[in-house]
Amino acid sequence: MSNIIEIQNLSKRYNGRPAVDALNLSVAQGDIFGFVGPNGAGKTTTIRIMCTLLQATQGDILVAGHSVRKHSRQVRQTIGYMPDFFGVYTDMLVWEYLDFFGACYEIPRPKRAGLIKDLLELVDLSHRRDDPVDRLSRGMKQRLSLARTLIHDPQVLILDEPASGLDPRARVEIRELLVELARMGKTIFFSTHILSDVAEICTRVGIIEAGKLVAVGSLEELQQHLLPHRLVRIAVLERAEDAAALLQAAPGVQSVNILPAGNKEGQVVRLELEYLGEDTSLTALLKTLIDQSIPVLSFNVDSRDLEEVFMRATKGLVT
Amino acid sequence: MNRFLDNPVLLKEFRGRMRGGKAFILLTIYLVLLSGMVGIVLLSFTLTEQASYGYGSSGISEYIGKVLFWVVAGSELMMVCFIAPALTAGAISSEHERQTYDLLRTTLLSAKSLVFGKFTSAVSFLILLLIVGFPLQSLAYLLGGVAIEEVLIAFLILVVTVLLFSAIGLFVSSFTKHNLVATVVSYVIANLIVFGVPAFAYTALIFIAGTSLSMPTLTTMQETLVTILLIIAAWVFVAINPIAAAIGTEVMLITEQSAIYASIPLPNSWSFPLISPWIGYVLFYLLVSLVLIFFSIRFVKRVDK
Repeated sequence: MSNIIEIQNLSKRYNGRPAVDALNLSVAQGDIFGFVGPNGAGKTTTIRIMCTLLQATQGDILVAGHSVRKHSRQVRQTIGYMPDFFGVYTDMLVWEYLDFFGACYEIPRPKRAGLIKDLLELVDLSHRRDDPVDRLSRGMKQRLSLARTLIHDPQVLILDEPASGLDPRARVEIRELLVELARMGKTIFFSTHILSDVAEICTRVGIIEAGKLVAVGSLEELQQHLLPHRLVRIAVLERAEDAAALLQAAPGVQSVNILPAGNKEGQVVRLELEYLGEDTSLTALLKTLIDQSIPVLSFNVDSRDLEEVFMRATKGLVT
Repeated sequence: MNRFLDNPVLLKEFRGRMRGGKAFILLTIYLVLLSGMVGIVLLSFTLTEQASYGYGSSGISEYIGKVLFWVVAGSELMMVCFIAPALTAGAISSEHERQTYDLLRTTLLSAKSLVFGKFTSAVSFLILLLIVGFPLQSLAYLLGGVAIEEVLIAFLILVVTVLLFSAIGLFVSSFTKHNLVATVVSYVIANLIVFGVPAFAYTALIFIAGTSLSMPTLTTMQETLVTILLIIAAWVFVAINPIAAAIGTEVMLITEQSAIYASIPLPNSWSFPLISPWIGYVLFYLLVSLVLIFFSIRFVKRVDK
């Protein structure tokens, strides 16, 4: 798949202090790319340069082949930008807000009415079409902002902290919308520090710290790279020692522990093992136990969350 | 024309300004104040002049007409000075405060469209205020004593003042991120033009009068040159102030019977040609307004560094 965003050796310095430092990154068409980093890491600076709002000190970003330095108009036509604040005109009605931005994107007046109807349906705000924008809830305003970013049918959506400050329901709604938009063929580049959102929907993740990209890849790739050992929890009804011996001999198994709490006759016995290897090899482990007629009650691979990956990748540096 | 009306910022500003009761209330207050002034003038003449001369005295209605004309035009000028900066000083800075500035800059909307949209909507509303004052202005015209060219020149001076103060507000707004700062700076500049220039000219006059006493006796030629310089300096001061320009034009109309041109006698029996101050005022401030709008567009266009 071709890359729709190419960040090339991008640097931004404020009074000599680097906010973004020689950043190189590619985002493929159709990706939901999570741009993760602590506060002050350079996420918003990168996004502002990408949206033609800020001049880079060095390097360039190509969006659909257009340079943000040289072809800002083409870049603006290609992207839909949602900042980490609402940016709404409170004296406008919902439809007027979308109509205004539609006109700003030079969409002909006759086309705009149908477009607004479709977008309001997509973000589930059709029933609020004629309400003043300032009467909408925070979550609704965020959905309206998302509809605004879509008014000119951009190829790429650039969202800066789209779920920040939203209640859990609104966050889930925004997340579902992003997945729906990706299904519609949009590339989504969003920054966040809500790691659960990244884990839920991102096809690729980039972790930035102190202006430098410290890790990039799919969540699985990052996990394998940054947390190679995985914890597997197994529960057996009996023959725990046999199971432990079998597992110990299997390739990739680093250590096996029989948990003391379950080490009584007639009770479920729990084992924990540290494993280094591919997912496919893990299934072979389970098969070995079953082939040896060991009564396996459960076999769980601990899903190491992104937080652990994030902590491993970053050092807590701030520029 | 369609392209002009298709400017999304202009349409948005029109909608915002005319929605609800805001515009209606402002227009009502403005007309009540203006009518109140006219009422006071008429009442004071009724009480004083009737007692002195009785109704129908020759020239009295022309005199009342003239006074009414000046009162209405002067009130409109003050209104422009107070409302124009307020309408445009927040034009761009309010986009910063509402956090919509970045959103606009990532659309295809050009800096020119944004600035013209904001400028045109403010100017249109101010010209509407001038137009609704026409019936009161026409009262003065009906009473006599006011020539049509006086009415037209006064309107032209008012329109140029509208353009100038709107451009000043917009210019300040284009490089300031806070409404309050933009408003205060715009009012300071507007007040300097309206009140600062006469205050400075008055101080300069006292200074010149003081120094001329200690000057050695001049030859006729030297005296002529000094007079020409003083005439030019005085004309410049008159032409850059709306009140002085209006009064200067009126004086020229009365003394020279011309709204365009006058010749001032010099000590060596030559005369110095002088165009009416309103022409200088209109041309100079139209140019200033254009320059301010040009720089506003430049400021809006720039990418943050």
